[in-house]
Amino acid sequence: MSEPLLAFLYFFILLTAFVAVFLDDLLSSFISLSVTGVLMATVFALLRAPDVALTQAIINSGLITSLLLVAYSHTRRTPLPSGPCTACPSWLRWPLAALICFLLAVLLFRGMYSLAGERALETASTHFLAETLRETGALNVVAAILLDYRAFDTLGETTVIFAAVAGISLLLSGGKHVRSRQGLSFIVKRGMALLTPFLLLYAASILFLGHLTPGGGFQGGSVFATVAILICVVYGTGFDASRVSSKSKETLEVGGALLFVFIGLLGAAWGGGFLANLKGPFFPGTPGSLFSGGNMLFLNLAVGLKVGAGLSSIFYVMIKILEQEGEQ
Amino acid sequence: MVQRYFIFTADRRVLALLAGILVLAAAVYGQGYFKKTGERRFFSGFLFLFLLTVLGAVFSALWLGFLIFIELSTVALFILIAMKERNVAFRYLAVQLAGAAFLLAGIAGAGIKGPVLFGPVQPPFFPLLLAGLGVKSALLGLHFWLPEAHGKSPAPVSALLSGIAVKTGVFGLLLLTGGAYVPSLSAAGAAMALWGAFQALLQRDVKRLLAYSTISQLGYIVAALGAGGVLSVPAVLYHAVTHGLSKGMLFFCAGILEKAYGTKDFSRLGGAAERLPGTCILFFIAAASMIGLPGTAGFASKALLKASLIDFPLVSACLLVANIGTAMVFCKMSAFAFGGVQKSRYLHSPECFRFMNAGTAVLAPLLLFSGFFPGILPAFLGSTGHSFYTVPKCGESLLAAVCGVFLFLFLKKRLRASATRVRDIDVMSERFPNMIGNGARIVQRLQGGFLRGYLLTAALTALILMHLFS
Amino acid sequence: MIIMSFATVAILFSLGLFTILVQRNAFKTVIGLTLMESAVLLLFISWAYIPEGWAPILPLKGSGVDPLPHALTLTAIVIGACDLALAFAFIMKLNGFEKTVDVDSFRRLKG
Repeated sequence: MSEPLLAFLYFFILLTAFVAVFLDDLLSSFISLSVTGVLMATVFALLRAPDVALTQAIINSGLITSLLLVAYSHTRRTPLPSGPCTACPSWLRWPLAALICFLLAVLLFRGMYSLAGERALETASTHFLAETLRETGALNVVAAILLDYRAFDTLGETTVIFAAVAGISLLLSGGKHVRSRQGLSFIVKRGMALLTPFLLLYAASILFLGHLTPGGGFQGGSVFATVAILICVVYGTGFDASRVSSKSKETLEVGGALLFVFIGLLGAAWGGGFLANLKGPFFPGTPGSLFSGGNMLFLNLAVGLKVGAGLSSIFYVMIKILEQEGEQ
Repeated sequence: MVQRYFIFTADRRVLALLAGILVLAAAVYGQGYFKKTGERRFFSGFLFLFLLTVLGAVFSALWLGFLIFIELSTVALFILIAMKERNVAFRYLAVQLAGAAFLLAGIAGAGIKGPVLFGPVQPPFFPLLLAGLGVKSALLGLHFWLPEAHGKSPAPVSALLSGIAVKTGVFGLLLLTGGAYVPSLSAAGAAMALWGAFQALLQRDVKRLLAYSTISQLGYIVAALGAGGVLSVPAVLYHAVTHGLSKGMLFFCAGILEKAYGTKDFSRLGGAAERLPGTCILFFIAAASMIGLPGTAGFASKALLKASLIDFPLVSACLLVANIGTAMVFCKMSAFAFGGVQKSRYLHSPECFRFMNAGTAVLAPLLLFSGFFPGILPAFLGSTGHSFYTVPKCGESLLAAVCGVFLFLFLKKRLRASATRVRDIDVMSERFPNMIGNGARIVQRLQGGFLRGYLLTAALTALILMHLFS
Repeated sequence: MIIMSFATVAILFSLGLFTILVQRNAFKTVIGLTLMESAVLLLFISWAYIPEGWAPILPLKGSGVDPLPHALTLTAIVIGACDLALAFAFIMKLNGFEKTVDVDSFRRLKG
């Protein structure tokens, strides 16, 4: 753990953040924001958080940037804001906001400074690190926390994803689906055809081996969604629609959530409590093998289905409107 | 259970008796006042409900019970007022509920350790209860609702309002102070008496005049209440009973005038003495009691009041001036309404007023009876040994009456209907909704809909709060 | 070293807030929101780091870092992505109504 490397990364994080904020060209600021996300993922990896680094890189830099670009394309034809602001003149707003932010930063730093001392683990964390193998049979402590010790919170998180997908579908509803066979050039399509199986394998490995190595349902599902986005972009919406319809995406999404709840109810029926792992009808297995960790494998599958289907349907809904306008 | 929640001491029984008599009179009166059978039944039904709630309030042993029953009686009165005047009823209800909120806050605060007995309350919560009861009994400054509510509601309901409803508030005040000496209440009472008499002289509307006269008489009661001492309780209760009976009679007469001539305006009334002789006699009995002429109950109660205020010469002097003012007020009413020339068309024949006159006449014998045997009521309350018909007392009251008559004759032209009008605090209740609307408009302009402005304000406020509490 | 992390967190967070307060473009507002969320994530992870600790994958070759904030951060990343996606949908919809991405013209909720 080298401090100069960390300092270098922090400096560049702040630099790219400043660029993203103050640049007038929106596309460049989006790319700069994506770079900030990747640098943050690197910092997370250096700070010994591989799970989080993976998630940050995939979701923040990959997915969010693509959604951002879709939204930008949709609003490209409208004029950018210009002219003086009527409510509060800029000579007042900038210094005032700068003052507020400066004072806020000072306050936050002072608060956090008192936290920096001799770091020691809390009792819960020592328990998790020591007893995970015995109590859950998995090797990835973070995945064990997410899917066994605090599995109920993960259920809540899938609910949040569901709410977001529902909200976006509601907001951007209307407009028929338009089949378009445009896509990109021939070379890209051929290259993509070669690459897709490996991408899918990669996604599946992240998903199914989530209880052994850094990864899990969220990351794997997001990579699946990224694959769907890539196919959408490269081959055009028509291709995507003829293979996987939006109805089946919805079914997959809801199926994921129902599978999660079903596994939890199995544990409850066995007498161990809702979402019980080893106290329910699941086996710990040999540590390190695929079928270990009790119900974590299936829960990962459920979460991955949910997240993948949800995120790709978000993208699909957004791009549908774009395509429709593009045709006109 | 009854023993825990209700107490039946002598002073409460007196008030209960007053309530019962007034409700009976109002029930008889209402048979003649309301034309339709449905209205008459509705009126009688809610009258009974009102009586029940007032009895519950008066006999209650806990402050909370008192509050609950008082509010129920307010609701009953609200429904009775709303039979004819809905806006007035809503405003009345709103003001009374606001006062009840103060009362409830005080009771809740004082009752942390257990139920609060209906009696004196400790200093931290004393002002809250005082404020709440002040709204109920129309203390100075909190009386803005009274002229409108008493002036615009139907006549029998006005009689109940002036006769009983404010008296329960005064009773609460009496038990709150518990006979202690509260100088601010005495001063407020003297001011109320003067202000009420002054405003009553300048009114154009019969019932508003009577409402201001109620404020004046309440001032008498509150002054005696604040004086404390052993005579305060009998004096307050005696005057409450007397005033209730006589003001009830006066409101009934005003109702008869309204039904007869179709107007409440002094400039359009006149010459009722020939057409309504029975009403005229009853009016004179009631007015005499209000002024305090010997031979009526008013004389006895005023004598007792003055006896309780012997140690406070300033207050007594103010009350004397107010007495002269009251005399002038009732001279005005008798001259302009009953005397003079008839100005408006007479709408109904006297036979229609059987019930109304009967209802009014129910109250008259009690006034005269108390007048001729003044010692009975104080003895019932446990205070004996007063001599009422002594020469100084008679002379004082006759002097006040005569002064009043002379001043009235002197100022008669000025007191004519369309003369000056001194604004009272109750114009605020008209302007209040406008003020709220203007305030809302200012806030509307602050909220321009700019997201960044909102966020800036929120961030600034959060920062200041964080700095203050870190 | 953790002081450096905390300083970065404070600067990043206030930078995000500054963006939201000052910029007129709705996309810049979303960028500011992203920066604020990233700052909080960095705070969690740098707080969870124990010097000379290993990543929380068993078997550990020594002591481990704190795994509980990692789980919290994972959830936070996913939920942050969801609310950003919803924000994009809002911007697209509002653009359809007002034909601009100027935050100052989204004034329908005034008063």
